[in-house]
Amino acid sequence: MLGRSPALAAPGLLFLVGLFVLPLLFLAAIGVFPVRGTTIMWERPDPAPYLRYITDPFYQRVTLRTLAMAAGVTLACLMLGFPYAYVLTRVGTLWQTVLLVLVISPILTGTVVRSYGWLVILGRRGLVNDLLLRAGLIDAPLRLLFTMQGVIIALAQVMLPFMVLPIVSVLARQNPSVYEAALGLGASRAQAIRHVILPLSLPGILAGSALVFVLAFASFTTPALVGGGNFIILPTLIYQQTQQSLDWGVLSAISFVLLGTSLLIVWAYSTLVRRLGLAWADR
Amino acid sequence: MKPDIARVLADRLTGAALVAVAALAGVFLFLPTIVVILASFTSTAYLSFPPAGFSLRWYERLIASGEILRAARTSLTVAALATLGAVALGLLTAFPVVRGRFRGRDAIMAFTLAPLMLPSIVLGIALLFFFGSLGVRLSLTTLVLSHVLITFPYVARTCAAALVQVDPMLEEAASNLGATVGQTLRHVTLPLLGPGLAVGAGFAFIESFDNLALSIFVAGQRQETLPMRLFQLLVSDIDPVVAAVSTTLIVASFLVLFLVYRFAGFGQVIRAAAAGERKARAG
Repeated sequence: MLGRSPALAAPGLLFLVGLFVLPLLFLAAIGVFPVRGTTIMWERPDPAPYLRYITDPFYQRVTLRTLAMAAGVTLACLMLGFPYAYVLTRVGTLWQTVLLVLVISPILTGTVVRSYGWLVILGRRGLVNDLLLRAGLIDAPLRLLFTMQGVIIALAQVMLPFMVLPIVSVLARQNPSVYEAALGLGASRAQAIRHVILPLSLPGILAGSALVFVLAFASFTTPALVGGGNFIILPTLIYQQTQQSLDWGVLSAISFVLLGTSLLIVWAYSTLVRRLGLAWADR
Repeated sequence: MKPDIARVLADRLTGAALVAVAALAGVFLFLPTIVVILASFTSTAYLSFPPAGFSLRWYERLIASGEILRAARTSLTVAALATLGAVALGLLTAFPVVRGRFRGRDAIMAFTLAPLMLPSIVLGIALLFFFGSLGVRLSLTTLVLSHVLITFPYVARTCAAALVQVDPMLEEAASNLGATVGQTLRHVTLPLLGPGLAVGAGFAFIESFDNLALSIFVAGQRQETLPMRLFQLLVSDIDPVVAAVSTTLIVASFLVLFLVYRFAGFGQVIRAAAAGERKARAG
């Protein structure tokens, strides 16, 4: 058989060690060792950057804001994504293709392009304000850009595919007779969905939510453009700080808070799935 | 059993509500794309929606703009080189992971996927410091290498998935019939891997072409990529020329999607898109 030798994996592994493991170790080191220029002073460890990060109310505010934003995006994606996935698995082939293309298209159009679309929609002279003004619902344009709501709306569109696809894959594997049995036993459609389909879709819903949360929490392009300099979250804070001053210690601290939170979410997700898996097995 | 009217009505209502939310989600998914396309034909110098008047002036500006065209060329070069590197490393990694009989194959795959789990911005800042401390000047090389880091996991993933489906007996047959290792690879293994490899490479290309969060840190002074250029144009002022560039990119990506559809089928696209889902599950 061709390609069995472990040696073939060596180039990829070396590449990862050189450009992934080492840079990350360096990044960790500059949080606890003083830096002169771009040289690490290995002599005396000093956790000052982390202390500064933890005690500074500004960093605390930005961290909480980032968490709130990611939670908002996850919720929005869930509320739109589940009905979308449900309908997608229950229509004819033609509509299924249309809905699939629609849901994948944001992945294919670039991040900058998508954010640009939202700038046009949410701007002072944009679509939303134009419609509301014409309908006479508001007197002056609403401020939608550079706010939390605006960023959540734009990010929810960017992240929706990552919610829909896992749910679709779970729904597609479901045995339709379970749903039909519920209907046959006198459940209404809403009851059957709430008590049968929704619980059975939980693996997909959890996977989608964890993924959307982690991606939203670490996203840069959309918050940077739609949020501007007014709505700062952790990833945009990193960029802003590199533009102003290169305080490597604080940059390292922010990076590892970002990284640590992402890993925490993934860990919480896999723990939850394991627990639920056990609960299902017991029944 | 006679279905009572209230129940039938309630079920209809549930169905209608689901379809309504799904339709809303569909509009939500497509709205920014449509808006960008329409806005690119505006005749006003500021951005408004709906566009006032029709003109091609922003396309004329695009063609006349050396900066944008240069950035597009840089992006294409970087994406092509990064894809090449990603395919080479991805193939080399996929073979022993799928076919090897040694311990730690799963660990190698998990390690290979690790860069995808990291926020791009964190990777960017880590590489910026790393290159700086090694005294490596930022250049096309650092940019391409960084892009290989975030694209070769995709290729390794899709190739591994495709390789599982390839029957080694076919290769044995080829070599029994006198084919050399090179001939077997070229005429048997690689063609069988074709669709998986194509999708992996396609995703690698898009990922590289679209990347902003990593590029802004590791690109040299003279390697401004297209997303970087557009980002600059949008941060300072919402320039309608970006709409013309975006529309061009949207048309291009739909052409690519169509080609992939023709050659590999939709299942492949969806599987690759859902790779992100698996990356969260891997944790």
